[in-house]
Amino acid sequence: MRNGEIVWRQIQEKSDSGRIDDMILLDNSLVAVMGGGSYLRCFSVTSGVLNWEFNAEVPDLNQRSRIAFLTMNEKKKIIVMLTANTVYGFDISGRLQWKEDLPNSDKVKYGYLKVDENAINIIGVTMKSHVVIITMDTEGTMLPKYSAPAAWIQDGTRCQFSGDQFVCLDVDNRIVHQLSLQKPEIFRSSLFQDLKISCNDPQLMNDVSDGHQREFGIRCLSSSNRGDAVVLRASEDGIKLVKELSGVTALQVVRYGEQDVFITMARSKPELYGIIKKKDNSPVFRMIALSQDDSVVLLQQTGKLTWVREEALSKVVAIDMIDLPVSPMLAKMEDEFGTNSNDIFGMLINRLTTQFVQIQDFFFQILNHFKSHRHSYYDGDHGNDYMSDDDTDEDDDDYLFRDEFNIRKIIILASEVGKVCGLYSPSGRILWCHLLPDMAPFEAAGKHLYTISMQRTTSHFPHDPYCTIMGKHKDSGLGMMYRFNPVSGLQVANTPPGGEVLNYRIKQMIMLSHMDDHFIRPLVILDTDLKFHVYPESTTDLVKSLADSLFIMTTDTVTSQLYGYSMVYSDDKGLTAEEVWNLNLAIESQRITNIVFKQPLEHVHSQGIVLADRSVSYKYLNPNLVVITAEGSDSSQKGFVNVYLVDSVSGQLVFHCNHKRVKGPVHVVHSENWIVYDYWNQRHRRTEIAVLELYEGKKQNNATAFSSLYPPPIPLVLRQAYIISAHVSTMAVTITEKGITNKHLLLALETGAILEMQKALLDPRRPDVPTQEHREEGIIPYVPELPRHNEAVINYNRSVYNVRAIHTAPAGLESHSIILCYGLDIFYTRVMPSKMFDVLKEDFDYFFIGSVTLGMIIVSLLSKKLAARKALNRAWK
Amino acid sequence: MNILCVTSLFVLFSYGLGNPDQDENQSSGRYHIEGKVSVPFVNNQDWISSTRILIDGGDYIGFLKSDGTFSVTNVPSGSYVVEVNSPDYVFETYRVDINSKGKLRARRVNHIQPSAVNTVIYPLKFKARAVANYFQQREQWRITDLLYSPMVMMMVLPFLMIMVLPKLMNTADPEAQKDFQNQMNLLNAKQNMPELSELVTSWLGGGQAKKSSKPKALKKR
Repeated sequence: MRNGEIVWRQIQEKSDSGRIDDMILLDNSLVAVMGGGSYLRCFSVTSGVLNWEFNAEVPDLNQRSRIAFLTMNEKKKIIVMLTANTVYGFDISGRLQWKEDLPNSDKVKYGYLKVDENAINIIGVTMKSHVVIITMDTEGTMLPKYSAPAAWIQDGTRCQFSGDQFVCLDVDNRIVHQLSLQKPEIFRSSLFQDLKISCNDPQLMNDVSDGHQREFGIRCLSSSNRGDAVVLRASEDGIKLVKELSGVTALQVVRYGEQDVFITMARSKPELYGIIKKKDNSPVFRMIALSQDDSVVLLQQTGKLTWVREEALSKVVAIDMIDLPVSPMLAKMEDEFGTNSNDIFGMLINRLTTQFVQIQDFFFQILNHFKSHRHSYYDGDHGNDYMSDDDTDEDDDDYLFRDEFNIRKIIILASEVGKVCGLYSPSGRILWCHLLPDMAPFEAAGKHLYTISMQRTTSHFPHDPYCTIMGKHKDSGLGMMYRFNPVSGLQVANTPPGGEVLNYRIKQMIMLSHMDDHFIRPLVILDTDLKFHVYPESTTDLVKSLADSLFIMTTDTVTSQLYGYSMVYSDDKGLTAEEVWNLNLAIESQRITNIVFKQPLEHVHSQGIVLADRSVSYKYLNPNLVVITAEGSDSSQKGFVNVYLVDSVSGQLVFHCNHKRVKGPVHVVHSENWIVYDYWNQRHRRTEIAVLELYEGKKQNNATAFSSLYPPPIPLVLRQAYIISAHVSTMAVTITEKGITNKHLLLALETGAILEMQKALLDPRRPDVPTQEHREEGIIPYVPELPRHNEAVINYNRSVYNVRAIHTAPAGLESHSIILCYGLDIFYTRVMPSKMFDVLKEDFDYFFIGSVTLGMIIVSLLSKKLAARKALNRAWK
Repeated sequence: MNILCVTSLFVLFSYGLGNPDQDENQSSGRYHIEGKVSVPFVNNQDWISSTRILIDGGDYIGFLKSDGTFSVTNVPSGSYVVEVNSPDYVFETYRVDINSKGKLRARRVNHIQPSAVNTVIYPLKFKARAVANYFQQREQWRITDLLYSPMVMMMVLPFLMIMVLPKLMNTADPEAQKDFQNQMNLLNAKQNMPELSELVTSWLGGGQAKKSSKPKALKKR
């Protein structure tokens, strides 16, 4: 509460049954109901230990359940849980007191629960016909039920309790309906006009409410996008207007003592929508606000901000890492090589000045070094504050430049709500954040994603870098793009702050690797009418010149069809797509789950592997190869997984294999000439990891470049499968600058560990019986189970749960690979797959090696002298 | 293989350990998996809140109560892998079979031969085997490493043979020494007086060899 850190956390099931529907706080325990009532769990607030658990049988996991508690007297409290068809009563220690089935639960949706001192009110709704009101006493005996006709009630109608009234808002007709719980026979309706309210797009505002307040709020959107609110009071006599507020975006009515108090939030940002109030005994308020951009804010009554948590970072859907720009000094030096001036003297002067600046800088650095030492001496007791805020503040002005080995990066994250943030990688500090309120992610194969394209990198000095994020509009589904500078987070000129809405729907998009004169990589977008659009438009000529060699592939995950298109340019139609091939993978109700290309940044260092007989087996390095996995289940409900390797330019099916009695989720890693994927073996109840390696054979078809139009013969595919005693939630592979370093796989496990595993363990050539040749090549003999050592866990005991994906990026050092895992948590580290072969160890003993060399020199001099004396002695003999 | 697997399962189900408590929820076809987790070498309870029970990698989750017991509810019949998820301690994993009548049976996980059955008592008892060790012991430079390395041994042993052995011989009992000397005299009468200069060179040579072995050992680190 004081600093917004998480004290404890218990992660619930991933499926629908783990969705939290409702929570209440009761003395020292937190009672949460999940998955429409399938689980009711009570945790201790201080330690997070489970006190008790109950599970009910629920017909429909998606219907939200409710809980409330009932205080009968000081000793006895009853927790009431409402599920879709039953009401349960528990005492505080979790014992079931009573249970009552609700009538007609297949037709009526019971969704509202209100508990008074001596009665339990449950209201169920039948769409477009009526509502059912059931009242129970505290022992769970049902009193006669009522039903009130309500033909206007719909799926989206929002209702709530307000004192002893049940209030519903009919948005379309602008009517407030109220139903008295004392005489629940008929709804009383009040029109907005009668209440003298004029309101567009009204919304009920009490999201979090236990229904005891008599007032309720309605939020209206006025034309200026600033919310207005009205507070109404419902009583037996009807609905009365209490107060009209303007510029309010959130409202919460709380009962304090005998009177109702309402707290309002008026903010310039129209983001805040719900407020949970936390009240002390004195009328000093503290507020916890959850805003639309997924940040949680704790406010004091004075309006002082106590802390902010960016919960958006737990819903990251797209990520990219970019290098920091070089410092201006280095840039100036590089500038020297960039200019085309032939003036020798000018260049000489330029060189001299830059070197002079360099020397000057060097001295300043030394001075600063001494200064900072003194500084840290005085600040000693200030101590380890929190995270590493200190060292970032220290050199605030120069930390945003590239370090010597290019290990520091800026991480760009896009979260599901459309918030784009830039993080400074060494400390995880948020540099900037920008909310795109109308942006929504694309959906593909059940995953949400944005695309972030780095159109100009930071290495082209006077030009600013820029990035483009693409998504779709929340309502219309049209394409949306937002261009920004990834270092500063500012939008690029003539981009609206909310993002630019395109007038077509995006089907597929690609960033080309060719650059124009301004070092911009063009972004080619294919719309649903099969027309190409190029961004920025200035690069259209470049794209036109490349049109003959551009191919694009799209996948229809609904019909399981793949389409390949080529780009055609004609003067009258512009750039259009022409279908080249299509492949139908719709067999046996399977659906496509993964479409994995290679990482575009990847370098392959060696073209082949040298076998023990000194011949070379060339790798099949097709840059256009795509791995497609499809999952399905056959007639007897046994799952299967199909893996296809397809050349995305020509549509050639390179390889296909099928696994029976296995199920997903399948995760795929595709790199160089190999593919690794995992699946769950249903028959043997274990996770298996399979590896495919593709080789051209002893001869290379075309040593200079790979051509999909003249493909080499079908490659040899070596494959093997291994067992791993863990459940994999995602996989990735390390990537390094030049691809010389060994590859390691990174497996995020369900237990929260991230396991690093050598690729050599997943070599399909691992033999059952090793021969001399195998030993010479250094191939490990085949063992079915892969080792899972704790030493290989790179995040130690800092578990990261529900990892969505792992992003890897190269650093300036060949031995380093930078990884970032994101899901519920974000975890950043760097790994050294082949140890630090290009860096001296930190404990390298300079003194020792110096003294040994010195000693050797002395000894050699001494022995030279002695030898000379001996020769002299011999001569005298 | 398939038939063997089925028959062994069948045999085992027939004598599966029944627990009378399990029958209460039988009608719904949902069962509990119960057990207790304990960490014998720790007194405090801090580990409980960070420990979970994962069934089939999180399809069903169990939370621990303050005494370390757990009960995973709402599990249909089938065969499950039950593991304890704790960042700090290592636990064994068990496989639990629930047959359609609600009988439970626990056994050790054997991924390589899934049909092999090694039953353990139910309710499950998870006992921490060790503290999870995430760090490799840093290789330290010790003088014994240097001495025991084969290169140094190869250098030092001959050196000892040359320098120390003759001296040891001298101090041995005088008769044997006389005998030895006689033998030596007989064998090579000329070489009984080693030249001083040769001694010096051999000593120097040996000394240098010892010094030069150091950087080699260093490289090996």
